Formats: sequence, structure tokens, C-alpha cells
Amino acid sequence: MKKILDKAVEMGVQEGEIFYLNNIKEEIGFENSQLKTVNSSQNAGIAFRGIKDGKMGYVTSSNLDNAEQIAHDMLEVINYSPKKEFNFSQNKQVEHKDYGNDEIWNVPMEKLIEDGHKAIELVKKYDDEVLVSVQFAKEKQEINIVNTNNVNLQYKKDNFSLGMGGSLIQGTSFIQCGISEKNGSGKYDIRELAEKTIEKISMAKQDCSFEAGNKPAIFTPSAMLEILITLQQGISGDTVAMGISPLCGKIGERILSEKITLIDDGTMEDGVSSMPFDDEGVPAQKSILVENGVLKSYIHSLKTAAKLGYAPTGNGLRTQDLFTYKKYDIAPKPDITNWIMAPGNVKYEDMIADIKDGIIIDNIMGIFMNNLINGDFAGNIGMGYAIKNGKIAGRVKDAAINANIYDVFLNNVVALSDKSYKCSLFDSIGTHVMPYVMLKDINIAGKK
Amino acid sequence: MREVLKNIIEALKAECDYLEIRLEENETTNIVFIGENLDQVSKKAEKGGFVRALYKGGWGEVSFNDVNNLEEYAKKAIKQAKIVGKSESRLAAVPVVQDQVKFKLKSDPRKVSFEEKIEMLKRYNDIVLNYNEVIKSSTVKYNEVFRYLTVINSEGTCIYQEQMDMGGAIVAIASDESNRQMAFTTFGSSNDFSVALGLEEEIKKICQLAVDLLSAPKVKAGEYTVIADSELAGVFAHEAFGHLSEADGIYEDPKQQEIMKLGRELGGQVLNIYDSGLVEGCRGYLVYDDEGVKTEKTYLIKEGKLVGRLHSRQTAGIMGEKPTGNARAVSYKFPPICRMRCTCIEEGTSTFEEMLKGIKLGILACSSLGGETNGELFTFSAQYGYMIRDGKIAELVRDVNLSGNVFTTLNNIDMIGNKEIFKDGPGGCGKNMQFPLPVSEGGPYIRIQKVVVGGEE
Repeated sequence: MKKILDKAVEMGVQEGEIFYLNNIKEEIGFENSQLKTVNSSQNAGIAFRGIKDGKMGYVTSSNLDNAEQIAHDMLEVINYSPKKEFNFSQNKQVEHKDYGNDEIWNVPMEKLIEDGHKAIELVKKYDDEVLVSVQFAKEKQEINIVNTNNVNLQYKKDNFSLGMGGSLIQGTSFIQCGISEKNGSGKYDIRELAEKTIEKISMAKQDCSFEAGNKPAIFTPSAMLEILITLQQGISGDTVAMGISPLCGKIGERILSEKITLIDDGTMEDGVSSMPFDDEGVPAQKSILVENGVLKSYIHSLKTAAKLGYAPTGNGLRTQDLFTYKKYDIAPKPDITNWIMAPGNVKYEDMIADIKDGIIIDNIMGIFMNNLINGDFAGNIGMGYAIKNGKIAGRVKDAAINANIYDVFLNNVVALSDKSYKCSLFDSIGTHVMPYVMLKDINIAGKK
Repeated sequence: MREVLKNIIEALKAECDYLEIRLEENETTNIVFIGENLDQVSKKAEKGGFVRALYKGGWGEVSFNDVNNLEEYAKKAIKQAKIVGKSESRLAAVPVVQDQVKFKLKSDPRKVSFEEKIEMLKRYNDIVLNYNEVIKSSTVKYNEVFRYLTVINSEGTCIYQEQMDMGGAIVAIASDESNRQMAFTTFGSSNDFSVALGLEEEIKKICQLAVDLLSAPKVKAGEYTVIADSELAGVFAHEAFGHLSEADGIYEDPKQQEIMKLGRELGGQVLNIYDSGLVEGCRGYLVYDDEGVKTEKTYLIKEGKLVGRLHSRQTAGIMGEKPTGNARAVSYKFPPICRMRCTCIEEGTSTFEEMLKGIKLGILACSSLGGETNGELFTFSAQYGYMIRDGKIAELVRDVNLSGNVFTTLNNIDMIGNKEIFKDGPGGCGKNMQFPLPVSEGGPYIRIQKVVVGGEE
């Protein structure tokens, strides 16, 4: 990488930063209850930010043996590029633990294939008509950041992930449930995962009528994470710098229930999104974003930190909007690492027992198509369960929700569960930990 | 290079049932304005490939950047396929093709200089920022990709294709103390830079819309008769029915096969839905898919009956149906899977006035923020809407989210407008981590009875 940077400097670029990402992956996929694919991939690329005469250009490439072309493209682009708004990182040394784990790569393929078959067998024993999918993936990321401040940082990280899904058509209901697990250890319990999948499917099998109206609601950890996408948008230095975040100027103000404390932790032990430094070389840190409902901090990239006059928070990430896996060709912007919401003090079972007529919401379909920056979340309740007289009565269909996080989660939160759980968001690579959150009431739309 | 590929395939093809190598080179230019600042000007260049081997029904796949190690990757793919394959390989038969598809551009983005592009986008941006003091910010995006694709397989097919994909959006963001609203317009094309020109009037319209949305009420939740405009009708076709028609969700699922049985009546005689690779100029235009299969206009629903689906060679082979040329990969990093191209509700005979008549209380839902599907359930959001009261268009409303059961809704389409319009924008479709795939949607205005609209109680 240094060679590419040196070549560019030789050709006229005054300051520069190169981010190199090499992604090596091996995946095994079972679909429709059968072993289908074994896939290997190796993809590397660089992102080059260059500065000349006060302007910053951006060039990415996977053609790493052609330093001259890269420098040439940069010089072409730089003429039309925006003004430089920040300086590259100066951190030449970042103490960090080893994020690599060769153990993951030692797990034999035969074992994974055997376990995939075992999982399918377990689910089919429960219900032969369920179509089961299983994916195992081993992933290695090699990252190197060099810049003209003499920074040359690198690290390797190994991740293991496993996902299971069951789909079943019952009458006119399509049931699709899945769980996933990502870790840095390569350890998993296939029986436990199969059991969780079976539990989800069985809960979804029983349809139940549900009348629209204002009802008490419990959001599951997954649903809570989904809704927090709105907060992610509002808390990003990007939207704050644009002046369009509802959280502009609200540091120190209570924006959510006092029961809510939310942390972004890039240093978390065994966190899938833990890293020594972010994708701009800024050391990762643990940031308290919301404490007892009060907004404490935004999340920043070098650019937004400089624009707004804050210290960078180690959240400058090259992740795809809402999918949060790193890609070398995505320009750094503020994004979350591992999100942890502190649990509360009420047992989840007691929350349910307390509700005469309410709903558990596990998934909201179409959540991305909203005015997320505004805090709006709305959509069809893809997976929800009715609570009647303190018991789960069955799956709710044809119900929809439309609310704003800064409205319904401000004074309407009754309790958080005393335990919090790892949950995932689509292909999010973070380790996110959320409790169940109970609201006094929220409007559920649907057929009357 | 082609000779090298052919030789490798020749040497190894006996070891498996099917071997395919795809190579790709691409170049991308991206320009983004955020607020008054030019936020990014960037270029990207990539080169890489993907080998697939099929052995006894199992796939081995290798994706790579380094084209110098092709033989090693091909051998690895075969080795992996042998671990998996335990049954029978079934790929629908297709003609062996040797062809070259070069650019056929009406107006070539490469002939427009960086300067001109930035100046044009800056003018658009200035219109937004100077429109009204409640418009606090803007986003203007432009993206152009040139792809050079080669697919060679063990049957003798060798196809080289050049593809251009262009898309952009202009977004106006209005805000006051309590509320933020956005409105946008988009453009996109696979052959014509000039779709990005002359957008000034359109931009002023969406600026006014953003301003009006600030004070517009949220629609009241409930069940309504909805008229969806062309854009929204297209998104409905894509989300509610297109994904359901992707055969990889059907070919090994006996229950899905029952539900999606050819001949099943899904809607009235007025209803025709198709997915086509032949609509020139659309982002979803495609001559050959990523398996080297020639695309076509595939009817999914004809006169209300299910008549077709979207196949890859494997799904067609296993289901005993004709291949349709829908196997697409978003890049060389992925395998081809069943995807859409240009999905459209075919025009009918009703006029807009005919649709309005007789609606005591309804909603005209316009433009789209996107949609999502989960088997039988779909949901999509209109950018904005107007209440219809006593057959007349009334007040502007926001947060119009429509959802429901696909089959019920298809049956509830009672009128189809007489003019098909295609709309292209930036971004694309996402499935199995393959995002964004260039696709297009289109249709006429359609009227749907009994739609559940989420909103405020």
C-alpha cells in the first residue's frame, strides 16, 4: 500500500490515505433441507483519499498492481473534488489485542456439513414439512491503513457465523423464521440453534385474531434493534452536520425514556464489530450515546467530527447503509459498531403476564421505507404475537404500526426486561445486545 | 484471455457436469452533493471473476480478483462441488451461443466531461437550496457504471457483453421545529445520458412537495380504495408479485408449487403482469443473463391467470419449464440467482377519471419510497398521497404505507389504466446480500379495493 501512496505523492498528490481490505471467506450453504453449495471467495481492494491544493478526491480499485493508473485517476478526479474538510489520523500506534483466530479455520468442513445435516434432521423431526436452510461461514479480514502522516496500521480479524432458517406454508400463511449467530471463537451449539428455530416456528403456527387499536406492546430485542435504525440516522454526525437530524442541538436533553441507556462499544470483548481502530485509523472506543434517556453523544467520522467541532469517536466506518459489513469501496461515514442497551429489572414472563390485551412485536416489514431520520418507523408487523389475558395466544396477521421513536419511547416505556440478548439486524456484523422493551400503549392498525 | 478460459474449461470439463467462468471489469463514476457542499467525487475500477462447477446437483463456487490463478480456482470449484454433489444435475437445455454485445448508447456519459456533469448537478442542487427557506438541505446523487462481462461455459457458450448503468436522484429536505420531510425525483438509464438533462421543472415540483408535506397531515389508518400511480404500481408488481415469481423460492418447495400452480387464477381478466429484459433504455434491459441465456418478455400473469415464472437454468431444469433468462449476479463476487429485470403491469383500458368515479373515500398514492415482501405479505410506502373524497382529489397526506396479503390484493385490483410508464432511479433491488441490482419497474395507474393503510388513528 505504501508503494501506491508513494507513487501518488511522486505524481503530485500532496496528502493521502490508503485503506486496504482483503476479505477471504468460505461458506457452506444448505437450502431447502439439502446441502447445496460450497463457496470460497477472496476479494481485495483499496480506497484512496488524496489531497491536492486543498481538495480531496476519492478513488477505489481492486487493481492493486497498477499504482500509476490509480494515481492518474486520483489526479483527474481531484480537480473537480470538494474542499478538504478534515485531516487524516495521526495515531501512529494503537495498542491492541489479537483479533485473529486460526481456530476458526481449523474447524473441519466435514464437521460443519455433519452439523448442518443434524440441524435439518432435528427440525424435520419436529415438522417434516419445514424447509430448512443452514449457512456456515468463516471470514478473515485483513486491514491496512497508511497515510502521509506516517501512519501504517494493520490488523487481521477472523469471524465465524452460522444461520438457520425454517420456512413453512400453512394454509395461506407463509412462515419464515430464522436465527443467526456470529462470533470470533468458532464455537456453536447446533442443538440449541435448532431448538430456537423450532420454537420460533411453533409460535408462528397458531394464527390469532387481533383487533386494531391502542394496545400495550412488548418489542423483542430484534424489533428494538430494528427501530433503533431511526436513532442511528439521527445520531450520525452526517445528519447532524446537515442540520436535518431531530437530535441537532439536543446533547444534554432527554430524548428517550429514563429507563434507556445505550452504548456503542467498538472495544467490546468478543464483539463481532470490535476493532482496534476504525476504518480511518481512529482508535475504537466505548461511547455512551444515551444515558437514562439523555442524549450524550453523536457518532462521528473524521469529517463530521471536524465539521461539528467534536473529538472523533472511532465510528468512521466503510459500511453499507443498513447492512453494516465493510466494503473497501464505501467512503467512511459514521456508523455503529456494537450496540448495547442496558437491561432493566422486570422478567419478560412477568411483562406478558401483566397484559390483558396486547401484542409482542418481533419484526416490522418495510421499516426502511420510512422517514427514518425523522424517527418514523412504520410497516406491516411481519412477525407479531397476540397476548390475551396474560398469555401468548398466537400469531397476529394483517397488523401495521406507524409511530415515531422520539414520541412513543419518550414517556411511554413501562419496563425493560432484566436480561438482554444478542440479536442481529439483517446482515449486520455487529454484536448487538438488547432487552425486551414494554410500552404502555401504541397504536396498531389493521382490520377491525 | 478468452483462449485461456476456453483452454482451462476444455481441460477440466470432464471432471464435472457443468463448468462456467465469468470475468468482469468495471468502471464507476460517482458524484454526490450534500447540502451546499460537493461531498464526493469518486472513481472506482475493478477486475475479477467467478467460477462455478456443478457436480451431481451440488455447486462449488470460487470468486476472486487475481485472474492469473484461474486454473487453480477452477480446480477448487470442482473439488468443492464434489463435496456437495450427491444427486443429479439438472440444467434446462439452452442453445450454445457465441456472441458479442457492444454498447448501443443514444448518448454516452463518457463523452460528457466531469466539469459538465458537476455543473449540471450543481445547478440542480442550487434550485433545491434556493427554493424556499424551509428547505434546509438537499442531496444530489449521480452514478454511472460501465461493465465489461465475459461468460464462458463447458457447453461451448462464449459471450462478451458491454453494459452501461446510470442512475441518480435529487432530494429536497424540508424541516421546521417539529418535523422533517423529504421529496425527490429520480432518473436512470441503460443507454442515454440525456435522461439526466432538463430536470429543472421536475425539481421545482418536488421542492414544493417537500414544503407541502411539512404541513400535510398523516393519513388516517384504515381500509381504503387506493389508486396507485404508475411508479407505485410498478413497485407493487416488483415487491408483491415479482419476488414471489422468482423460481428459486418455488422449485424445491412443494407447498409453494401448489400456491404458484400455473393456471391458477390470481386476479381479474384485466390483470397482466410481465418481466422483460427487452425494454431498451431501462436499467433492467438485458440481452443475455449471467448464465448466457437470452432474455425475453416473460408473462407472469395473463388475463388474471398465473402463466409463468422467473427462472435460472437450474430452476427451469428441475421444474421442467422453459428457461427465461433471469439468472443474474450483481457482480463477479456472487453467483447468478433468480432476479427480476423490468417488471411491469401491462396497460389496460381504464381512464383516470373512470377510476375516480365512485370512490366515496379513498387515497391516490403516488411515487414510492420502496417496498418489502415476506412471502404472502407485502408492504410498500408511497412518497405522498392525496385523499379522494366523493370522486374528487382532495388534501395532501403523508406517511401512506400500504400493506397486505399478495393474493387478496391482486384479486382486489379492479381497474387498470391505459398508459404504461417506466420509471428508473438509482439504487436497485436487494436479495441474498446481492445489492443493488439494476432493475426497472413500470405500469399504468391501477385501482385496488380494500387496501390496509397504516397511519394515524
